[in-house]
Amino acid sequence: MSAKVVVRVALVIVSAAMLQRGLFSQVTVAGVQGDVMLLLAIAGGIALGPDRGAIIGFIAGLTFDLFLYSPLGLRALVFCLVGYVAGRYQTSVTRSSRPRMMFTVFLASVAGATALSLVGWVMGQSNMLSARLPVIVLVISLINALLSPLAVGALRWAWEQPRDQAPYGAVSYGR
Amino acid sequence: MAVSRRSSRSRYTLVLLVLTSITLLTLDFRGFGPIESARSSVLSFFAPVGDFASGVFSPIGDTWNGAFASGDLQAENDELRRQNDELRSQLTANEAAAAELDALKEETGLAPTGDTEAVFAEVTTGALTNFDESIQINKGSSSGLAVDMPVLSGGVLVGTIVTVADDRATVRLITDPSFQAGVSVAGAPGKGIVRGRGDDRLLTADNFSITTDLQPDQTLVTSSAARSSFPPGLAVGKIKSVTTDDTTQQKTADVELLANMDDLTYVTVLKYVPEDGS
Repeated sequence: MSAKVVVRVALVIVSAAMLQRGLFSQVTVAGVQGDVMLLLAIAGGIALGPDRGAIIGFIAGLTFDLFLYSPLGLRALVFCLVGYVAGRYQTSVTRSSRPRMMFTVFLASVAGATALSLVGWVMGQSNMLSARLPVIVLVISLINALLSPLAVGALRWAWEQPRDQAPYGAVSYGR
Repeated sequence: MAVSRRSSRSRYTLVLLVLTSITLLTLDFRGFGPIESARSSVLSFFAPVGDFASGVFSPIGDTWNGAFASGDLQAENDELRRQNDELRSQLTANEAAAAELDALKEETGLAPTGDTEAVFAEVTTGALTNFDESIQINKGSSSGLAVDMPVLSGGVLVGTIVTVADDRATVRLITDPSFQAGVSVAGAPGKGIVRGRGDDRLLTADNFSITTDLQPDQTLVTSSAARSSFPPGLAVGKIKSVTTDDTTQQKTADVELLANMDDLTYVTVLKYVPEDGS
């Protein structure tokens, strides 16, 4: 991994954190905020493959954990698993298109947000499992699906991954 | 063959990352000092960038909220007008009551809250995620703030400071499930513990003895327990309902918050240090 890639990936992750802090903490849909860092983990898996997806998910989760007053490592743990699973799933896809990719992000977001709530609840964050969870999961997943082309594009740029040169476990879109 | 090698490498990467996450979680749960320092550094380093981002996106936020939450704003305005009228009428009565309370506290050996130095701060960031029960304020260690200091809004307890940087601090809100404080009914015997439950409107107060006279609409205030992080007498909430458990011989209450947690713009931090210094 070159220094250029490291700087670009850091830039994308910090920008996403600032987007979360600046935009999604103010703009809510049905009282629910989007989760750009979860999107980044999923997009990492889809665009770059399972191992890179896990790395992106880990860094994105850890960055967000440091911003929040919640157990350090909670999001890093869940997001690296989500990034890995999204990347593994992508390896089984033989034909791909943008709508299919968005649907994959939607499903991965449902799984990721639910897993985050369950793991958080197990670790004593009792507020993470509430009656509002289905609404929260649905809104997060819809927002992530809509923003997924941007996130996948940003991570391809960061990792210098051309669209027509898919790595192991990742498929190019839009054709 | 090559695919199998790559696959095993990615599994190895995943295992390594999972183990690192679990190690971090364990260290955090055990209160590992450097983690707090890392949080303070991140808070300090990203605060200017975060403020810039908030400034850039606030017109979008305002437009969005104006378009989709105008009904809520109207209702909120009406409620605020009603509260304003109510508060005006209470103000005169409260001044006399406050003087009386200070005199009583002095007599009973409890330091009046008015004697504790306070720092006025603006809320820079609200909750960052749907499960986040914390806010950030624009004052930090350079203003004399420290971890565990109580944070008030409108004279009502809303949280405590958990992370401090030079000119920023993170406040854990009273609604956070890990928050707890010793409380008692204002002007009555019996002590219990109030806990957050991730609800913007309600708290749980438990551990009250079955003999404690708990009634709906009574106000709970912080108690004068030894080594408590809170000065006694800070208003916390109003009892909504009470349940009695005959098995444990304890009473539990649902407590309505007195502060509006959805609309925290300015807060006051009390530079309170428990008398034994802990």
